[in-house]
Amino acid sequence: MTTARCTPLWQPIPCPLSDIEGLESWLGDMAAQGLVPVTIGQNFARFRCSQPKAVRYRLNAKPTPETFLDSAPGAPDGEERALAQEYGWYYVTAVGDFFLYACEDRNAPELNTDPQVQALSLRYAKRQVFAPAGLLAYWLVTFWVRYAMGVWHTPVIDFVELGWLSFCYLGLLAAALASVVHNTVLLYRFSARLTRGAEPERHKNWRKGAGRYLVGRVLAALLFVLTIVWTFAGSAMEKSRHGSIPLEDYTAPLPFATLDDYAGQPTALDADAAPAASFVLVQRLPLAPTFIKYEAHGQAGANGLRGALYVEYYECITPQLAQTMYREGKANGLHNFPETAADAANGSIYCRTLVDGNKVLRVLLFQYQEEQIPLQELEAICKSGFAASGKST
Amino acid sequence: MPKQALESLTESMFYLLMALTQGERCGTEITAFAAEITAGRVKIGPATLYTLLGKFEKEGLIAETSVLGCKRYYQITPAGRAAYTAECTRLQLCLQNAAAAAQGAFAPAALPGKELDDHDHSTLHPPLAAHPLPTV
Repeated sequence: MTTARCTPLWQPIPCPLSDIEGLESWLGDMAAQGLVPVTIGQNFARFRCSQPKAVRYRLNAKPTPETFLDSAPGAPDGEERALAQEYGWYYVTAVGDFFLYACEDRNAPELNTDPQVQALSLRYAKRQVFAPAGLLAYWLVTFWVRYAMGVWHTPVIDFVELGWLSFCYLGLLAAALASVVHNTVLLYRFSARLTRGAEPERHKNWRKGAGRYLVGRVLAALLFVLTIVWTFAGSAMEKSRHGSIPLEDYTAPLPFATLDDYAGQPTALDADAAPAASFVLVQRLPLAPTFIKYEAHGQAGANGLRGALYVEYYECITPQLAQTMYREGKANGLHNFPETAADAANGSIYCRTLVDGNKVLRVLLFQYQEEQIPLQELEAICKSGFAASGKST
Repeated sequence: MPKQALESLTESMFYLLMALTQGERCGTEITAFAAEITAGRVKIGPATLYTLLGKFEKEGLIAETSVLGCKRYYQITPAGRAAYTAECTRLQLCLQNAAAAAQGAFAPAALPGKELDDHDHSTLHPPLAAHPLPTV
């Protein structure tokens, strides 16, 4: 390849940025092919074309900032550059928490000649490798605090309802944790070897493990894109009630009491309600193979039940999951309404959560008519419709 | 118990302090001094030098005196001299122990049924001249 016909190109980085020896070896091999690095990001490096030559690349750790809140400089200061230049090393670019230097003079001394001193210089980089873990921990703690303070009422139910998106989030979390652990182990092992006085490996075989590493990065990137797309699409689908069937068109039997059952007679759906306000949505979720969401607004006859019924029905993969969701639902009823007390004076707002084996039922009923159905009757209708085995609040 | 970072000095650290005991020097002069006095055996790379200068300055072993362009000049502080002297003492003791071992001192007692090895200890431990402590 001649310089005239070569165009700058991007190459995926075949090893983590904490694999200092691997990265240095890779860059040296690229220079031997006539590719000289211009900028190096997290996943890709941009190269320009040059004559193939033997170049030594070395990553020198950024100095520790003065205070904990400061960040390390973006480029080496004049003294550091001048010192390096006097010995034949020139600064190329910053790479994460390191400065990349290059040298074409095979007789020039190494940038770092004392492994134990080089280990000392890694202090800031070793601290920074934990930064993503700190962010993750902060994220997890805020979720836990929200749950403990009662701000996030139903995490398990929400997790189940999110479906495959929940697993995408978990997958991203696992990928981030794995990356942090991998980078930490690499850097700390390297530092430990230097502290024992061992010289760095100058011609590390970066190809070993490169395939696995790149496949992992591609999968993580795909998962990230999928999660983003799914989050927005899911939000839009939920708003538009994608997949729901208007109640008047739904003919299959339902495993719970409907508005007609509570009314004791067929109800006329409320024409004044928003379009498609009365609907049935049936979904297959990873943790609940059958999930049914039901909403009905209507009136039975001139003096019958007039109100709205909201139902969420789950058939979970295990009874234990159903029990957990039952406990959450009992403490936080549908749409955050409190469970109706067993001895409540009236049933104008009836809110109940039931469980039977691996099935969970969450019900919220509003009655607006003057002569309301008594609470005990509502309870009986609800339970018989669910065919519950007597489990109730 | 793990050693603290500067509890015992590496060669680079030792020769850096040694260079400054003779007067103010900049980084290039320090590395030139180390290479010259050790006949090229000890080479201090630029990154090693930069790390050490920063570390020693932070620990109070050296202090910057002046800046000429990109070159910064340093001098050793009393704490630096104390660290250097302590290291010299440690090295001197090591040499004295080696000399004593060469003379056969603290040789192991003969095991029953075994004769002492008829080694010429001087071949194992070349004679070492006593090195007086440097004055700093």
